[in-house]
Amino acid sequence: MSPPFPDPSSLQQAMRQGAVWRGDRCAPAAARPSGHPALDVQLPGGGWGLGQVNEVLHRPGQGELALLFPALRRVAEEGRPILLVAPPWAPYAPAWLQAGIALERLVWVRAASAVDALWALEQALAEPGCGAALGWVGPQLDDRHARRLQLAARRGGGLGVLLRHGTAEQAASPFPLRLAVAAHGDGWRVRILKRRGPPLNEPLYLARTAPVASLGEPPPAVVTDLFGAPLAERRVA
Amino acid sequence: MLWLALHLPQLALDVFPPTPAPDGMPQRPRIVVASHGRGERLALVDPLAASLGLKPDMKLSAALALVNELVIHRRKPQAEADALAQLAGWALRFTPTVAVAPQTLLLEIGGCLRYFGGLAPLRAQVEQGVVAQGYALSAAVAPTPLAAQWLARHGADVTVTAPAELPRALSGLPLAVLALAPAPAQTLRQLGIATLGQLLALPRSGLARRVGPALPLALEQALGHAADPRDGFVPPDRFERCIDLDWPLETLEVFVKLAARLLDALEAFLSGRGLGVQSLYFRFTHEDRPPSGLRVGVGRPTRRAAEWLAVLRERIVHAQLAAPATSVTLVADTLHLLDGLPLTLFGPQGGQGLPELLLARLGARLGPDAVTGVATVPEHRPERASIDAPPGTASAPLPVGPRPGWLLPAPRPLPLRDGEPWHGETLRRLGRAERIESGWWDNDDVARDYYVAQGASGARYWIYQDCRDGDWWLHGCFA
Repeated sequence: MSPPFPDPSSLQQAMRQGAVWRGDRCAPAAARPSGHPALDVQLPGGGWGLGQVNEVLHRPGQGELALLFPALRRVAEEGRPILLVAPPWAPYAPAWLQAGIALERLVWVRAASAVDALWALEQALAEPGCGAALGWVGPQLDDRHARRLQLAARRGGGLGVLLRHGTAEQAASPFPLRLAVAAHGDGWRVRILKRRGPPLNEPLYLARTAPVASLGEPPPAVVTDLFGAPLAERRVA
Repeated sequence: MLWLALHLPQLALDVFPPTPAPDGMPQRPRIVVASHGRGERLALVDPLAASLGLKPDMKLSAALALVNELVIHRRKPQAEADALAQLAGWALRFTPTVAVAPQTLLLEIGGCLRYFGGLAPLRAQVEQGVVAQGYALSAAVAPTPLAAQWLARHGADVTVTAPAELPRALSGLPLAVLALAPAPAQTLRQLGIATLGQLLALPRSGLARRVGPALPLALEQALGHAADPRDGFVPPDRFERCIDLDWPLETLEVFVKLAARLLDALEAFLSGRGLGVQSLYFRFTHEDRPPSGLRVGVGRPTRRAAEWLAVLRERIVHAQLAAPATSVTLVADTLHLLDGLPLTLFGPQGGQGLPELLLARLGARLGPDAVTGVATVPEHRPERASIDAPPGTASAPLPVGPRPGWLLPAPRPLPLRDGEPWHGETLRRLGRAERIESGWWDNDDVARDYYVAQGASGARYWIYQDCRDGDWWLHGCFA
């Protein structure tokens, strides 16, 4: 005779192995840690999703690069290239080096038109050898193009980030992850607008992990941050 | 020494690509004619024409009397020589010693048998390759080049490996394989000699008196008794191939199909020599205009036709033909050594280094200057400390203070509100100034106090005050 109920221990085992996805948790996914532990906890898979487009809504110049720098540094350390497709301004070489990103991994792709930018981003996302592809597109992105980008990212399997000017927060998109990033005090406020998992209503407040001045030797003058504490001390702390 | 002779009996016809018959029409017999005295005679006929009773050396008028639906090609000796040279270049992938004889290629294969796993696999590879390029072929193997050449020309698929067997193998061949001049041929015919066996039986000194010294020497060379040095084929150090079009080429989409044929030929040429190219030039000739051209480049030398085609497809997106083209020529004149260089072990999926093909495709469509890396320059003036560089350029960090991830293309003037610089919000300066005073030597000197500044929204900017006039400028964003 077989028991009327399945063995409870085997059910627990199945839950532990992740064979059953419970709706109050984030879906398992291939991911690359973002370098911000507080953010990783809330992201499916524990970081930026791989093989998908991660959508970041922002106002240019409000901390979007510093949010991405730890993950990009990891990509560069693995010897994989990072493609910047149609960024709003020139990536400033000394700063990217200060962020720990080897410049021989960095490729800056300019595009004369929005169509060319989307095409270049699709090509970069679909390339398996490409470690990270970052694309800047305007607020308007039609659904067909978005779907193409998502499919390309699934083919390539690398880290794909689409940085959009923070307007269309409520617009539908085929991308599985959408964040809104804004500068806040000495760090950022990140709102997860969409993820594969339960909705998160509270914004996350992240602090800058790297000090502003990352010099080989301490700066000659005592540089204080917003709250008046000397930066050198903050670094030790 | 072991020689593989590849005789191309239909070479004069094979250099003309076959034109498909229109739908519903039967294939028409094809012949090649050459001038002969005042008239024209048939040089070569295809099997269909032969079945209709046409023979080489027949007068063209007689052939037209027999068959009136003929495709007639004028013989092109230059095209035949080019085709033979191209095949010789291709054959260099098998052996370093390739000699060119009339209508025949001679490959010294004694040294490479082991590498290819024996005679039969090597011959299969070579012969399949030749047939795949559209040439009729008869092949033979012998220890001396002349013997191999004669056996192949006779069409007997014979393999002779020991010199001692040569006299017996050669004795059955007709004298026609020697391709003698008319006078010696006439003399031998009058002597009643029809085969090589009869000729070999004659004493050489008497033969030399009657027909000259060349023939006895050739016989000795064929038997391996006299030296027969051959000059190896030296391939040209550039590639140029032309396709003449029967109808004008209107669009670049059709051109891509033609380019695929040219690129296949280029790949065959390059892989025989272990070379690659980094830049290609397509030349178009037009009926009433000077020729125009299209240049395509990639970041790293390659020879693979598929990669070139992928780049070419992107290159033509924003290009167009100046006028309908009557011929397309592919020119590759700077060849790079490719073999012996390290290739990626796992292909692009290995993830090391730059995806060259992707960058080439991006560059082909967006323009050569659109895909770059950035590099640092040891220079105090911030706008000069970062320059565009070819992708993959490494640089050293600069011993400088905090620098913003984005630098504006040009500093933007900031207005003052309540004595503080203002950029949509009041900017609060964090910390002390970093003074940069440099460049007096090239008339572009700057004297600036740089600050990291933060607005109420939390955004951080890199601003400076010009020390000479006190104006405030925005120079970058700490994104």
